[in-house]
Amino acid sequence: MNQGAINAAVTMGQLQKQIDTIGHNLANLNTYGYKRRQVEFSDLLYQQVNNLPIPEESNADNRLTPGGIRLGSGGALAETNVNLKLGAIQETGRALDFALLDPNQFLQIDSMDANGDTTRMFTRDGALYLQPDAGNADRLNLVTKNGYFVIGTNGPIQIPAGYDKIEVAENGTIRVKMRDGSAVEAGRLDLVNILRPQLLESVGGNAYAFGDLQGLNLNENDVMQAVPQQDAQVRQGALESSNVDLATAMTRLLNAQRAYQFNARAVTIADESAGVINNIR
Amino acid sequence: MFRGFYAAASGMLTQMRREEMLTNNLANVNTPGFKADRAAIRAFPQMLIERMGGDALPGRTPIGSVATGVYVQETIPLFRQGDLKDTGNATDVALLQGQVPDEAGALFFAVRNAEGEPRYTRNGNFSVDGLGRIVDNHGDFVLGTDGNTITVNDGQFKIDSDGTVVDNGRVVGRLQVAYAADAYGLVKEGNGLYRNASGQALPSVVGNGEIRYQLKQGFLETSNVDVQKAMVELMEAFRNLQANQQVLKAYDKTMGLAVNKVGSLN
Repeated sequence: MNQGAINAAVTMGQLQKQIDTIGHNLANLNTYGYKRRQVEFSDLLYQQVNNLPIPEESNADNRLTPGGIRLGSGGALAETNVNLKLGAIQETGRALDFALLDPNQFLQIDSMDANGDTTRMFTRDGALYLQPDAGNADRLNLVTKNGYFVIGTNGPIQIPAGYDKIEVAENGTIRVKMRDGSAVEAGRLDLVNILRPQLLESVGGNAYAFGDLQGLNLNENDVMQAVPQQDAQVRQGALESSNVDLATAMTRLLNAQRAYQFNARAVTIADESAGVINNIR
Repeated sequence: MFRGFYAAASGMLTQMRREEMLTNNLANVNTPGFKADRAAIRAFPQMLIERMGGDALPGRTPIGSVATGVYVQETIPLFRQGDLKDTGNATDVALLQGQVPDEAGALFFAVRNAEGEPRYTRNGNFSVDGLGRIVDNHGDFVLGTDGNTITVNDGQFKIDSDGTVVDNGRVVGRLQVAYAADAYGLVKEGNGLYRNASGQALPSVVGNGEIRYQLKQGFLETSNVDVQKAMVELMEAFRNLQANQQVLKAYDKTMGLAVNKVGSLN
C-alpha cells in the first residue's frame, strides 16, 4: 500500500487518542482534585530507501545528506504526563471538605473488596463523607464519595457517633467535639508526598495507584514518603478544583482536530494518487 | 523508440515519494522539535543523441541531449528553529538556538539510547523515570555535560538557561548541548532522534565561545512544519503525478497507433 496513506492513517489514529485525552480532561473540568494529563507527539521510525544502485557514490559531490533517502512513517503519542499543578481553591464552608495546598501531597485511601482485602490508592479529592461502621454502631468511618476508607496515621479514620463538630488542623489532626462538651482526637490524616507522580496510574473514581513497582526495582519508599506533621498543609472547608485550564484544553483540541483534518486530507490525496495510477489504462 | 515513456513513469514515482515525505511532515505538525523534510529532485544523467546512419557525413552529428527521468535524490531536513510553546511542565525544555559559526550548524540535546549509543534530539519533552533519571519521552537517557545521566529527586527541579539542573537547591548536573557543524550529516532515526552518519559523537558546546544558546524550562520547541506550504506542495505533487500520467497515456496512445494503424491495410 501507499506509504503516504499509511502514515496519515496511523497518525489519525494517534491524534484520535490525543483528542480522547483532551476530551477526558474537559469532561473533568469540574471534578475536584482532578489532575489533567498532557499529551505530546513524537515522530515514528524512518525507513532508509536506497533509491540508486550505489547510494553512497552516486552524486556524492552534490549531496547535502548521507546516501539514500529517509522516509518517515508518521507520528504517534509519546506520553501522557500527569500534571500536578495545584487547582484553584474553592471555599465551601463544609466541615468535611479538605483541600491539600501542597501539590505533591495526596490523601491515602483504601478500597475493600468482598474478601476484606484492601488496595491502597491516592487521591486529591477531599470531599469526604461519614458512613456508619458495619461492625460498631458507635463509630463512623471517614470515606470518600466512592466509599473508600480515608487512612490516618493509625489506620482508617473513625469518628465517634454523636459528634457535634469536626475540626481539622492544618497538619491534618482531626479533633471531634462531642455533644456533651468533651473533645476527642480522632487521628491525623496520613498524607504522602508522591515523589514520582508519573508512575501513578489512574484507576478511576478520581484515584491513583502505583502499578508494578517491583518490576521497576523500586519499593514504596522510593516513590513516596509520609508527610511530616509540620509540612502538611490541609485546609478545612475548601476544595481544590480541577487543574484543567479550559482555554488551553480547547486550544489544544482545536489544534488536534485541525491536525486530524490535515491527515485526513493526506489520505484523500494518497487515494486520488492511487486512482491516477489505476487509470493509466 | 519512446524515450520519454520511462521518464514519465519515473516522474510519477518521484511525485509519489514526495507525497510520502509531505504526508510525514503533516503527520508531525504537533511533534515537538520535529524538523520538516524537503525533497531535492534531480534528473537522471542526461544522454546525448546522435543521428543514425551518419556515414555519409564526416564526423558525428549530435541531435542534442535528453534527460532520461527524474528521482528524489535527497530528503533534507530543514533545521530552522521552531516556535516555542508554553506547557508549564517542569520536565519540558526548549532549546533556543542563537548564533552558530557554521551555516549548516545546529544544536541538539544529547541522549543515550537503549543500546548505549549517542543520539541527538531537539525534542525536549522529557520526563523523570522511576529511578529519578531525566529521560526523553521514549526512555532514552538525557545526558549531562559529563556524559552521564542526570538524577533528580522529583519533578520539582529547576533548569537554568545554560542547562544547569538544580534540585532542592543543589546542582545535580548540566544538560549537554551538542553542536553539529554540519547538521545535514545527521540521519533521522525516528522517535525524534538523530544519529551522526559518521558514527562519531558530536562535540559539546561547552567551552565554545562562538555559540549562543538558551534553554527554557516549561517550554517546548514546536514542529517547524509549515502546514500551508506542506498542503500546497502535496496538491502540487498530486497534480504533477496526474500530468505525468497524462503523458504516459499519450505515449500509450501513440504506441497504440503504431501497433494498430501502421501496417494496417485499410
